[in-house]
Amino acid sequence: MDFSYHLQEINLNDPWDLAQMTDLLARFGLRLEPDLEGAAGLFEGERLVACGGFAGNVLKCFAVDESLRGENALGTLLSSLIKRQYERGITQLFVFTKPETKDYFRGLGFSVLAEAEKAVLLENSKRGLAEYLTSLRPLKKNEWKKVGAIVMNANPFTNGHLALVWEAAVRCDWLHIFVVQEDRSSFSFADRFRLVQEGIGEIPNVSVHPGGPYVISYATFPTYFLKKEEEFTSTYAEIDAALFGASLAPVLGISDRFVGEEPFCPVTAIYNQVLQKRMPEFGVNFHVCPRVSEDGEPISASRVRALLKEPDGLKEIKRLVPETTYRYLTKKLIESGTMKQNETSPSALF
Amino acid sequence: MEVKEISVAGTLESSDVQIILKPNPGGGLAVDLESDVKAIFGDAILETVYQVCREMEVTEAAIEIHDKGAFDHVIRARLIAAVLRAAKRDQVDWERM
Repeated sequence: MDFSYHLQEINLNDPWDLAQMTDLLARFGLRLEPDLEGAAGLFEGERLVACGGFAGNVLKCFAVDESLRGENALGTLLSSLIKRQYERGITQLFVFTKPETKDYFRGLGFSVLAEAEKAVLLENSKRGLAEYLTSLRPLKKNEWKKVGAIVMNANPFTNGHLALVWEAAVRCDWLHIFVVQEDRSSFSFADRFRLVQEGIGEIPNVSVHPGGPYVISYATFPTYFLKKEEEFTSTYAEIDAALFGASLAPVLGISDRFVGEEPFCPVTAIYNQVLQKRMPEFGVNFHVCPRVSEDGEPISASRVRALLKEPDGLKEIKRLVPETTYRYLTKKLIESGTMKQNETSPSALF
Repeated sequence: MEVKEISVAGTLESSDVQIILKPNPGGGLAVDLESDVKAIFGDAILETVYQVCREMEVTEAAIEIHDKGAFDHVIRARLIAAVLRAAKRDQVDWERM
């Protein structure tokens, strides 16, 4: 590389640095994502000519000026970003990008995990997914003919979730529940996961697993390389479906995937539509189960979260969630000072 | 020297090599080589890697190599750096180094 270029960390708190990165990305029809935690750039003097950044374990927002093409600017950028990620203890790294650029990353130690029409997901290991799948293998038994799967955020776990679990469990020899692993939701992953385990109680043929990095969270799905907002959800769903269908399902012998009907959330509705189309392509039967209602209204986690903010919300919530979730929410409200301990009437605690 | 934690040394720039070292309990030396010049220099690179491991008494490690055409002395230097980072300081015999 020509020595007139130098590598430097981009300071995301500096308006000038930020503006340069935003402009460089914009020139290629790309966006600067607001959740970036770090970024690096190649500068020619004061001028930014290449950039890349990261959030969590995802590397994204890459752009390289035409003048640098063929100079392996990406290699320099990636090296710096990878080094910083390792320094903060993150060694399993992922890249979401448009399919046209996948070969650049493949030449720099990344392997394709899943590909859709408008996006591709890569990982910095040939074996990461394989090792994860190997760890799941003991969870497959030959005598199970019908194996189901549910992927849920459970933010928090409601009677609606529980009803879906029952629906699936009675129709399958075994049911796997994957809880999406991220901490961008109202409730932490640790809490959400525990509430799922506690909520399903003694149902005999169910196991609950952390989603890990291979069950993709919409909250952390980068969209910087997609042109239209309408594409965000469908592209996310396509990648998630590809990963689930091609990798998770075969290893666990999953024959059926269950989701709840989605009357409210447009994102989930689109996601379900994509799965409806793709799951059969992977030999997985897809089931949309009707929502259970309470007082004529479908139960949803978003409704529970909204009620939490209302003064008498807890009373209403009691009818929408299992006992275990109710006790957790009560405790959370007390801890947050919204409700004083001695103000709770005995009936509210049963 | 025992590889106690995951470490990385080097870069993906032209003429350099990026080496990632991970503990590999019970698995001996497992080398995964990706090189721009694998066809011609693959064997020579592996020979260097094994030699350095012998010298530093590394018997168990998962070594991932992304070589962008580095010379032999660069590979040695990067591997030594990676091993030193993966080991803890009290293991290093600086005089022998």
